[in-house]
Amino acid sequence: MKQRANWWYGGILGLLLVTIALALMAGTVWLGPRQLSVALSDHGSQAFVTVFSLRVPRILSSLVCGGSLAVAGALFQAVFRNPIADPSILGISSAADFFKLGGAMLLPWLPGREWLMALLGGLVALVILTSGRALADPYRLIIVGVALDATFVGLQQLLSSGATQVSHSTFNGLTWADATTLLVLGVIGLFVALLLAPWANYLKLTDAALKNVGVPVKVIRWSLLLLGMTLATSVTAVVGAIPFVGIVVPNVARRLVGHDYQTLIPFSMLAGAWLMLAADTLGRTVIVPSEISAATMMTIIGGPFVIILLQRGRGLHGMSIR
Amino acid sequence: MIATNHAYVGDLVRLAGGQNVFASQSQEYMEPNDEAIQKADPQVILRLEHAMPTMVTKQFNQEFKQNAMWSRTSAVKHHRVYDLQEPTFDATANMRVVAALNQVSRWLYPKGAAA
Repeated sequence: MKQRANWWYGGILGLLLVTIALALMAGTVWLGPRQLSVALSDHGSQAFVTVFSLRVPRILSSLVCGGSLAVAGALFQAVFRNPIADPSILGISSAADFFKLGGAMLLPWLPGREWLMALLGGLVALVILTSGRALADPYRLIIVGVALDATFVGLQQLLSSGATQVSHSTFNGLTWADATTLLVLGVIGLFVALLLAPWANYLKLTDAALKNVGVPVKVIRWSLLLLGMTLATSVTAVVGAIPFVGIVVPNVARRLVGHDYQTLIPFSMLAGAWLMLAADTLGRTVIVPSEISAATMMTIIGGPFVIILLQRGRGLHGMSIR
Repeated sequence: MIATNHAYVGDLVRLAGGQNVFASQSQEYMEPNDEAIQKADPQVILRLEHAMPTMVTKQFNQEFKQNAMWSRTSAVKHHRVYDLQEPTFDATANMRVVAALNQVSRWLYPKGAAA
């Protein structure tokens, strides 16, 4: 198992490097490796501006977002002991989106508004999810989550009807300021996630067993949940809600590198970063000069994946997250 | 969102003698990405203040200030960004088309400047 995991780590790192190189080259104007090196040496050139101020921030943002969303999904799955739990399907991301929009209307003067409001929205959704009987069984949790998601999407449309366009969750138009915000929030969050990964392993045991050993179950559960929520809402604050990354990546990762969260979380981070970058790069190059938003790309990729995952007969109870 | 030559406001540009940098075969509106806009390098930018003018204009100004891509277009460099205001301009054709067309012509080809 260990050996195989190492191979997969090597594979995903290689894939990441290749995709980053392709993403630097592809776009409205194709820049080959030679033009790229010329562009980097000549800071006044049009190519340099295209690469440095348009492509690089976009690539960095999609990498951080993908990594954050995948790790957030893995953490949620560990805490809820549910293989398809993820901040987007449970309505956390759309709640964050809704609060972000509300904040823009009511408190336009507040510094750091988008992030604070998104965080607040995520917290509200999390409280709703964990306060009732949703935790009693995995199906109920997902259904409550889906209903919560639909509610917040509806509320968002209500709030924005006639006024402005509903946000598209796209990486287009991201500036260096946005990319820096994402990098700071994402890197801190991911670093904490790597440190707390062993905690996710504890949660494989039953609560009773954990209490016998003297592990503070509540503290562990809430810290992981809040961490996952923060990672996901930071992405929502800057880019918007992007579905399915947190479901697809950790589930594939379990197949590839096994169920130990200490290898699963770093691997999900890398694989999520790669998936997001690949999806966004494809989205911005297939229908030039327009583009397909990252959220749409992920819906097309992730939707069928979840259907296949659940239709293959074993159901939620058969799928193991251990 | 950008109105192409297939949309009323987008086609005013052609009628006034200009060229819409985002011409299309079939689409009325499209959403080009930043790279495509930078490459098209518009000489004049016309912004339609649709639906809620004060809010939309504020958003336009914020977007143009925050996203450095705009400041690299010829239009912004030469201060040729104009706001199309209701009721003269609208997303769909109306009886004020003559006034609208005259206004666009003046913006595209100001008197004294070489046409």
